[in-house]
Amino acid sequence: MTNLLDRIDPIQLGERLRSARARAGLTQQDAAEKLGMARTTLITLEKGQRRVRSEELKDMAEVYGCSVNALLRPHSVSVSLVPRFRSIAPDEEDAADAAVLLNDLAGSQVELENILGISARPQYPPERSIGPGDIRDQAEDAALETRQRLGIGLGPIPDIVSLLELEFGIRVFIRPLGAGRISGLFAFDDQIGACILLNKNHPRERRAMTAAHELGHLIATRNQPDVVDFHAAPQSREERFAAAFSYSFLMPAAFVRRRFAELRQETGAFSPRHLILLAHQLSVSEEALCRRIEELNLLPSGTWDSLRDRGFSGDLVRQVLGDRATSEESTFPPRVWYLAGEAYRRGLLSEGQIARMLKTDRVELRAMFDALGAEEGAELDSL
Amino acid sequence: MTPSKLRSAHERLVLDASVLINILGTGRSNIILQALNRIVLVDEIALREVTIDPFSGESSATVLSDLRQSGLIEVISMGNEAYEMFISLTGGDPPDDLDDGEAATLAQAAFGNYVAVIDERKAVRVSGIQFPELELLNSLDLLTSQELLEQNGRDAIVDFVHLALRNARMRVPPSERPWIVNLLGDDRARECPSLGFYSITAMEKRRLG
Repeated sequence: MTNLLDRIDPIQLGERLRSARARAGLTQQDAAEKLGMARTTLITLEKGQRRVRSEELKDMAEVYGCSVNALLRPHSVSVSLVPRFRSIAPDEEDAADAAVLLNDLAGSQVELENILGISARPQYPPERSIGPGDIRDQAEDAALETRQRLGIGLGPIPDIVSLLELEFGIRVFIRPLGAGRISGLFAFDDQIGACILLNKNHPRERRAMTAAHELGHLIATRNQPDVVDFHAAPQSREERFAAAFSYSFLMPAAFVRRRFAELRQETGAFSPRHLILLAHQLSVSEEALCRRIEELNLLPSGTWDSLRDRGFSGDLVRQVLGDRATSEESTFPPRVWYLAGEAYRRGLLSEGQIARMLKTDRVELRAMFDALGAEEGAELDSL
Repeated sequence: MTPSKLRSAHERLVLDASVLINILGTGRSNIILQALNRIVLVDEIALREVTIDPFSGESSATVLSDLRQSGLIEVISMGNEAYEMFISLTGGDPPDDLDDGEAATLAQAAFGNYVAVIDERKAVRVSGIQFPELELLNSLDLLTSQELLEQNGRDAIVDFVHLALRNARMRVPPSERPWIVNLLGDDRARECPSLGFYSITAMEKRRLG
């Protein structure tokens, strides 16, 4: 049998090896030491000036933590979002890991599109720079304009992930992120477009706020990557704009004012029960809604803090909403799963390849395939 | 009782990750591998792909280590010739390329004269192209084998299949689904989403007479 490594383009392979090393966060010197080869040899291989031997490829795949298939697969896409995050969160290990995850998932989605022959046609909202003057007013205007563009009026947004993916073509991923401090990440790249990663460990309502926050970044400052950490108070004008945008986008002032007045009229007062029902209607947390109501001067500032001090808790929410309190109904999985399911259904990629591309456990992947009907014999027209 | 293709001549089996996951999913891997009474091999690359034990939902490290220590599985690595074959499989022209674990399993089987046990649809297709003579089995061939039937009885076999389907979402080709549904019965089949729409329609058709 002819050795495949004698036929493959050494320059292309060298570039993939360089990219895999960089993704693993290794310098040429570090990598050469781990591989037990001279740095000059590694440079020669990465430049494609000499063909890689099979044992070298095996060692590189192990040291770089990637598969041989990913190194050899012609469709594999190299994305370099990671370095952009280093400048904004240089010492945060969780943020660095999340940046690598977003980078790899975005690359995998582009590869899936290439394999399926689908080209992404994003229709992002226009960019608008933050001007002088009140940030909140500008965010409110931008949120209303975005809603108008989407044709969704002032009503609730039950599934913002689908909205961002289907209406704007933003790449959205939902995965567990670190110890829970990070809510999400945003990055924009001219070639792959806008990408958002949301923390799966956070409640759905919080993920929605994060997604809206990152949409704010896409509108105002798309060329700056962002890591959302709700524990840190927003300092910069850009962060304050994104935070205000998320509130305005998910809880339009006119809608909140009207519903607040209606609910108060029913019983003569706005109760915690009303807060729970309205938050559920808007798919936001009770805290976010209460702070929004305070911001709109419908309730005194500090109402939420006082409610919390008096023991407002998830128990009350569960009493009011019952099973609906933890429901994920009416949400759809991000588009990348559909692409993966289609590639699997057509036999273009194997379960192992997709699990590795999407960095997921095999059984979890199988569950997603079952839910999407990606298996043979699951087509409706075969029933 | 079952159409298992496992024969006494199949003395050495090499399991792919997709199959090992299903066996672990039963929570009875010791019983199953003991009853098979064969040399069961797993390539080190395929083994690394089994990170979670689907039965417990925890890391698979302990259960795999126990299986190795008790000699129920033997972990092997590729020699130079097999590795050349592995590279040609992982670097095949798409869509005929394979992921590392699947490629390692097939390369080991081809060079070691073992019987590959692999569920992965694409890997089975590629094997047919690259190694038309290579004999392949799947998870169901092991879980419903004559050996398991004789030693553990029919009820145990039904449990093994049901647990692998429910916990590991074992893949089942459409052509095999009718007898699996019959084996499990309607109630258990309904708990197994990986049986796809077929199980639902078959049950509905039976109910409608």
